[in-house]
Amino acid sequence: MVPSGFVNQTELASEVERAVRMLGPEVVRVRHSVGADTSGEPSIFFRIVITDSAAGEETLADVTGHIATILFDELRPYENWGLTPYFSFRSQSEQAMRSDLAWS
Amino acid sequence: MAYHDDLLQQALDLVHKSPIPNQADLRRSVSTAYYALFHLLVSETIANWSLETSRDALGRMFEHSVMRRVSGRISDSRIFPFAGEDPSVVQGLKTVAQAFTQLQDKRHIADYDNATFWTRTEALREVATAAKAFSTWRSVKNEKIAQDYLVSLLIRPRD
Repeated sequence: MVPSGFVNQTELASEVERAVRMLGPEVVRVRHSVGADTSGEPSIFFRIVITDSAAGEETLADVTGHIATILFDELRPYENWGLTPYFSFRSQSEQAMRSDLAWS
Repeated sequence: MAYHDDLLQQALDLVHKSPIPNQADLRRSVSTAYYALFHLLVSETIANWSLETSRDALGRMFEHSVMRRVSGRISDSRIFPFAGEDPSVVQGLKTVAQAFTQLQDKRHIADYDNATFWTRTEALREVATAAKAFSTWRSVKNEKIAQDYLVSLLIRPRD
């Protein structure tokens, strides 16, 4: 299956913004970038900062799974963009200690 | 416990090893979580081979890259629309396949990319993803589409 070709970054950003509006208050910030994954496949990488309470171990799997599902279902990255989605999560405190620009 | 169960436990142990975990423990926990799921899927596939003495040899035939490509295709409804299938089973299978894709990429980063800093939340999330894939697999493993997925893990897709 051939990927959908060059990605219109402006259009994608607009769609990501729309999808992010569907997320709950546990999400502090979502950043994304497009590139190749470690196997060279075109991919979209989400970096999601969540509240410290949402990052608690008891709820982490459900919270992050729910966030990923919403973004996945709203964006349809494979079907609409030919992109494999990847999700990374940090707590608000962790990002505050690191201040990595890619997550800011 | 089976090898893959031990690996998942090891991943959990590593990510919980210290209140302030070091990068070695976090990175190894992510890598171990991936291999736990990898070996679960291999084990589930070769269990269907009736000649027990040949199973280990069959298990060596799996290629990580093929498994990733197959798993990615499962999530693409253009390739696998799963028309007429139980939606809950389809979602369960996609959960496992997506976990495999995600974990393989993260494993590569954890093992080789020294520029990436891992937080506890990030590592814990990957281990939790593997754990969820294990439990989800148990609920769908006997369905036809799940068994078809296992077989396809051995077959290089022809695009």
